[in-house]
Amino acid sequence: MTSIKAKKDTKVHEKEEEVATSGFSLRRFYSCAWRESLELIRDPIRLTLALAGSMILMMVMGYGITMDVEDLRYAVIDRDETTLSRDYAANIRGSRYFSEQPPLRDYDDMDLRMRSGDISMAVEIPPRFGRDLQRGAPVEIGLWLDGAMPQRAETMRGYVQGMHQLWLQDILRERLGQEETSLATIEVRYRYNPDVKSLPAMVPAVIPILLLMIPAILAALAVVREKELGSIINLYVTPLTRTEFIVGKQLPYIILSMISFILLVILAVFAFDVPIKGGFFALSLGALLYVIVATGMGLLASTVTKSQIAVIFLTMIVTLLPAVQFSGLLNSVSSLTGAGRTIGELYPTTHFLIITRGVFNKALYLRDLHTPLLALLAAIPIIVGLAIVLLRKQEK
Amino acid sequence: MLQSLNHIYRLGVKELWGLYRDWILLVLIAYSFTFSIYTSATAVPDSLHNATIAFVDEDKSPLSGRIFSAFYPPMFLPPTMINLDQVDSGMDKDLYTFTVDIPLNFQRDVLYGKSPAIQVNIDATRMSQAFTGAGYIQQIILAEVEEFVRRYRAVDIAPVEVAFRNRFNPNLTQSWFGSIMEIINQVTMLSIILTGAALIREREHGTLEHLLVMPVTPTEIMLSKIWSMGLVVLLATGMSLIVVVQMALRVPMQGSPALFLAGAALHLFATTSLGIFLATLARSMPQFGMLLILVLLPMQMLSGGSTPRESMPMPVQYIMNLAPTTHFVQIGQAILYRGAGMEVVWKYFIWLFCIGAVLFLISRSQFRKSVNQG
Repeated sequence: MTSIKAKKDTKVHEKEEEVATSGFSLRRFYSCAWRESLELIRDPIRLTLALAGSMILMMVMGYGITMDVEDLRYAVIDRDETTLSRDYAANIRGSRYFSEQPPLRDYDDMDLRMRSGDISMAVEIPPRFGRDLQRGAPVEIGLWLDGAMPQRAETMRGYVQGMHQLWLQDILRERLGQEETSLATIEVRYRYNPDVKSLPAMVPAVIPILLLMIPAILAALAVVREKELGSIINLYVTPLTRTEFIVGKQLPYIILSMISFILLVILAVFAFDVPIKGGFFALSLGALLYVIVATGMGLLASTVTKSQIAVIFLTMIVTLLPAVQFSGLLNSVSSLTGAGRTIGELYPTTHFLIITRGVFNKALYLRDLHTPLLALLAAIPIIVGLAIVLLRKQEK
Repeated sequence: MLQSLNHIYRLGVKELWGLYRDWILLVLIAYSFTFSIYTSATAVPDSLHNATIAFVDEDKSPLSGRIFSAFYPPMFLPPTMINLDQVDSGMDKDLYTFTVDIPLNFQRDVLYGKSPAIQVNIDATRMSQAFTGAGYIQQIILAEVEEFVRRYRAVDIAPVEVAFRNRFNPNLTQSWFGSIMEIINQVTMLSIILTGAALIREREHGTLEHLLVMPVTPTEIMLSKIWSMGLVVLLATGMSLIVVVQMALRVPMQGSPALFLAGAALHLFATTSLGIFLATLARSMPQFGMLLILVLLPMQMLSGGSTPRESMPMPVQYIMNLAPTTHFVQIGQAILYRGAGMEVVWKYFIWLFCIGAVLFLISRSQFRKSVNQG
């Protein structure tokens, strides 16, 4: 009697088990996440590197990446040597954008010093500059720019043109007594960052890069490591489903990344003095969605690779270049061309960058940030879903 | 000595076979030295490109219409006409980087000589576009106004012009710059990963023990990894210079590619040593991954290959002197863009050699220590 009952019990139990295998078991998911968390917690070096590493990187890059193009080295060759020509040279010297080097002797000197990168701009004031200017005869100042860094050359050109115009107006008015009123004036207002300083623009922009690369590489290694060291057998031979495995692997890294996010925000606000002008809730929601995508990208990379070397390399390739170059960190996405533009428009970092800059610099709230938030939300099922589908339940 | 060289050679060949068998890794190397470089080089436009701009036209005069139609691709996307109250929300949502406000009676005031003001709002978080864009917008507007007024009365032109000449890259073609800088990035990343991760893998799999019971020294193991992986990356670099940079992107190289490759070889000596050094610090692959990001990101962003080095804060400039990339970027720019020879780049070669030697010695003592412990 009892044996029959026991048999029945096991049968019922087996049935339950079968049902659970096909569906999503919270218990199995939990144990997978717990296992991964323990591995992470028991490797304090990895944990410290992930958290302290992001903070160090933020310090270094927030402070170091600068779009202020200044202290540019230049030299003058003054063939006129009059008060006016010296005044012109002094005008450039007075600017904080330029730092003057010893004067040039001749064209050969100019050539050598430009070639060696000693100076990136050379100014040539022609003979009879002062006299021609006073007579109203046409004068041409020669300006050589080092085109090796095209954007730097472009910026220098802009600076010089502005300074040239102002100098000319001053000279015509003060020295030569001519009243040269401009036809129209243009008032330029730099918004969100009135001093056009790099730091307030860069600090919010570094956060998305850090919250992408570190979570992605940790999550990717979490899976490939098991493949390479053989413990993936637990996935192959137990009822654990692919969804439970992937999401369970992901959860600890999402939590870790959110801790990292909080630390980065604290650092931005207190150490860098870049205040949160907009909604913190929108920022946090964006960060949560974004780290789910970031870890998901790592997991996706892990499904197509077998060795840890390959997955580190793959993750670096798919995160570093797009995040740094195509997501609007230095150049806005709309200005890009070719494949980089397409990647930039689709890439999650682009959308999170709009959120971080919006909240930090532009005082935006949840209601203003629907579009990028929805874009991130939409990326989650696609990326995590692909990772689940591509993961094999059995080694090929 | 001869035997030692033989060991180093054999062990290096073993590394090459290991790489050859990992086809995913080979595909990734090929990708990163071709497509990756091409995309990166062609993505950034030559000058201001497709900037988003919107106009508020309160004047609705022929002159304001003229100004509006002076903004067109490729520098600007076709401008949008908006109302005054749409300026803030449009800029907040990142729809426009620039907005221009032409005030009421602008044309009348211009003709009366009252010098009216046009307001230009610039999203200053878009740093790379903000400055150049502001310059171009001012130039375009003033030129249009001048030409318009010229129909009514004579205008004095400024008697002094500036003749700009761009050396080394006459049209400031961005892909010339981007392609070489991206090669440098890939060289650095790949060489650190290949040597460092390979060493960690040997340790995790226990094959390092196999090596150590054989009559080879830790120095030989290190040197074998350095030459084999360095060679792979150097070959990839050379191929990339010819196929992608010269043939596909048609970048004219000013100086000697051979001298550049010599610099690359020295750079590889430093970065492969760095890879081994990181591998001796890390106990597992995830730790190595973290260290890699920690080292690679600043090396890439602050080397002078993405923003001008002289504009960085002084402490950053000093610290970055210790990074091999800083010197390799200088070598690349001097040789390939400016056509400089050894007389200019020798100091960077010395820097690279010293950095490489120090890293090699440190990682050798670290490696010996870790081996003896294990």
